Amino acid sequence: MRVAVASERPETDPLLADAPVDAALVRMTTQPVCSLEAPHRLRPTLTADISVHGDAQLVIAILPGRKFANGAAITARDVASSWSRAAQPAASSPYRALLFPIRGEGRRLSAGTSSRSIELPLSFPWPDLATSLCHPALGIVPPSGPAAAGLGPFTPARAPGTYEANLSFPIGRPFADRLAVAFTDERGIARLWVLKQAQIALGISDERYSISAAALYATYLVFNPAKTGAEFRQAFESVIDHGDLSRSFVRSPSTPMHALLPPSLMPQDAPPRPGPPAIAAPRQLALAFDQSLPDQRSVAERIQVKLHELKYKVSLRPLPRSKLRTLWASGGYDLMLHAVLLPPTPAAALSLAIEASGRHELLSAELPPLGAIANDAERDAAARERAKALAGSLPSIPLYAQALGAVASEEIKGLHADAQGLPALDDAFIATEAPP
Amino acid sequence: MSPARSLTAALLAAVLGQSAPTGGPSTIAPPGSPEVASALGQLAARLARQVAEASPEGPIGLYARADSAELARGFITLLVAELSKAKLGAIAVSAASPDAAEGVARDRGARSLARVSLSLDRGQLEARGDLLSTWVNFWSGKSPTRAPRPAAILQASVSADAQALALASSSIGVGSQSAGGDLNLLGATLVALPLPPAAIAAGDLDGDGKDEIAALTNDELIVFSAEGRVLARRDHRSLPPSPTPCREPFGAVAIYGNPRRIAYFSANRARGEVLAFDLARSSLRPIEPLDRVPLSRGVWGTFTPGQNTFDSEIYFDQKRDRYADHPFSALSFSDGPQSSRDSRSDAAADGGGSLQSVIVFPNGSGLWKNAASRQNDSWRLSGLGAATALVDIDGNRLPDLVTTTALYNPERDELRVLQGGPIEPATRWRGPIPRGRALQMVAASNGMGNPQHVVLGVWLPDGSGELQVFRKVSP
Repeated sequence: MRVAVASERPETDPLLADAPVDAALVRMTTQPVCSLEAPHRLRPTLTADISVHGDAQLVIAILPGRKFANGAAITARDVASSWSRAAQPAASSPYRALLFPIRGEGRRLSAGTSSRSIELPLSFPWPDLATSLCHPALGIVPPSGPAAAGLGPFTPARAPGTYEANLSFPIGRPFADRLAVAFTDERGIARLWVLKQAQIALGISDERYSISAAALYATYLVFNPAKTGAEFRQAFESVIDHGDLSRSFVRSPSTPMHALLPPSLMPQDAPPRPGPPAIAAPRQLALAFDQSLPDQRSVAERIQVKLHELKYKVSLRPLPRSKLRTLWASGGYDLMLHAVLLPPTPAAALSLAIEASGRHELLSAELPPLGAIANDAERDAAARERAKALAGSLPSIPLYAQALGAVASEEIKGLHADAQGLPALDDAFIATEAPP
Repeated sequence: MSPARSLTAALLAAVLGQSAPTGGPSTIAPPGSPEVASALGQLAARLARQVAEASPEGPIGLYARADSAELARGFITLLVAELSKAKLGAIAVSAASPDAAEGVARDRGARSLARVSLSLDRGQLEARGDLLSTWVNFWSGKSPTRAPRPAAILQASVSADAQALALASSSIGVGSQSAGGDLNLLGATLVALPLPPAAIAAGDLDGDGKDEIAALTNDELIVFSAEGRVLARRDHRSLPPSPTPCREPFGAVAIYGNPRRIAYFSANRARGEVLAFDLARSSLRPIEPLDRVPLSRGVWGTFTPGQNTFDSEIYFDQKRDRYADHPFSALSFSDGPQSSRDSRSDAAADGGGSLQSVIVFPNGSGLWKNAASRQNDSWRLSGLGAATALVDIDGNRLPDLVTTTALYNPERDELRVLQGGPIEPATRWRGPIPRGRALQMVAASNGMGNPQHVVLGVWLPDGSGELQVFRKVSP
């Protein structure tokens, strides 16, 4: 199965590979302990069981015989260290918010009494923890390094961009025997498509997508109020139309965000635009963004132009994703485009949105009341309410949410998006000729 | 991309593209639990509610018409009981027609009359009719004008079950399409499964002459009575996982031997089991582990690692045989001579009964083999659906080839009975299945000499499954 991807070489560390294209490809070789069939329904992959012991503990039992792509057996210790890596300050990862309900915020995880189980003691009840562990950023990586392949439906072959079906994948080998992935730009994809050298195209703008995926890759403009001034939000909203950004400066499929969570998680309408505030004096601001994402560059340039009308002199600062995360964790930015792949459950997504906005300290106040609601629908509704209430107080402005555009040729069947909005290439297959 | 995987994947995708089932049958109740109301009982309860809401004056005459007299009688019996529960007196009315029923009801003292037509089509049991007053105004003269109340339209439908199907097929049938005119089948849901079936098998486990049905899912093996009642179940999740599991539910079940044994092997497990069925305790007792795949009685094979096919080499008891050119997805055996006008069937008949078999390959092609003929004949087939079996539809010990649609993504899956043997098979009967996509098929017997019926393992769009049964009825 030949796949063309509109991307440079993607990130391979699950903690950094959160852009939809990156996450879709990393998902092929490195998966978390479970996958999501629906927002509140998980399917264990690496684990035999995820059991909840009251409100206070989650126990993860690891299936025996599971191996990394390099042949090493996967132990409970590997799983624990993969998770605690996300929680370490050195990782500078917003995805530590997913582990916040674990005692010690997940920084001191260790294997349980058995080498095949992990006990996760909770600081407070958090029913969404099990599904949060299915987030692609929490993929289980081998001790050799986070860039090495873990356990997924495919294993990297020697030839670059080639992946072989993993016969031992716990939920069954993928349908395709082999994936050949070409990394190029949209023009290159068009050429491969015409020459029939690609059967699936990922990350392209097209009028007709082959899959319908939830747009959960949310981009926020986070700002430092001390540097931007208190009137910045009003200034920004007065000159920037979120719909215009999504329509004209971001590749489809994308949708404007007018709330802390994207439209796929909470319904929202565009509020009336405020008038421009009185700006006392011109301000010099630096806008950091992810240099590997062309959409962010376009949006950053648009923001630069529009804020210039209000006497903000914005300089652009493209950074590699890892350095961007370090800058975010340090809080030493003026403005930053910060994108995160939200989980499909509103409460967990809210925790990540708060974290991405740089208000980690708010989690201890916001999450426990939500976690105390056992009913999924009621908890989701409460999280939406809190998202509405918090939107104006967080130092971030939601801009747009993106899904991964995927187009498949007619012979490709079964391609669909999972609950996380990522295409499941392992479920796609090439239709043989119709039976005579 | 191996073709073996593509067809079932296609079928799965097709299933996922279909609409969700409505008004499904009862889900599985554990052995010993109170039985869920039958389809006929549910229909009677719904109609009784509609009658009661119209506040008719009693006693109420009940008249039902169906192509099967047994179905009509059974329904009236249940409807009388339901109305009695609602403290409404009801009497059954027999008449030649709905019009005549009005006069008969009046003569028998009924003050109201419910007239209902019953039909069973495409897996739905439906009742339609009306409720009227039989009281005649003395002053209306020669024209017996009706009173204005009660007057109501009665209509309800439920998913048919095995009981309704048995009643409907016990007399004259009401089936759908019949290509040749000599055969008609009626289908209904036998039982709902919590997960899609990976394999099914039929065999008489309790010696009553009727085949029980064993259904294997990714989690358990469930044994059902011919009527769809759970007799026993065994959770196989404690077995070690397969090092090369299959992405889809896949496996094999066989019922064989004396005393009867059930052998099963899920492609998600590293080994299978041989079980003994204990009817008195409603249990399945493990006899021994199994390291080979039970394809049929005395026929064993192996899974293609990670795929939904069996290896082409199979074993007849201990004798190895390269039975097919490629890995195959289904295999069906029949004992009788083939239903063919072709002279080659004579060779089989000379053998005094033969072992006919049909092998289905993932691309929809197949092979009809006659293991007992002098030439060990085999014929190529094409256009077979994933669910295919040899079934003695007529009860004459001549197997018919029964299959489902060969289309990739049909609007609705269908059942086809082919005739003319393997040389030039023609469609003898075809009709849609009630819902879902059929992935397995077996023939089940209802006693010696009776026609076999077709049992389908069906995957539903909501991720569950069900067993459906098709029986022969009069054309």
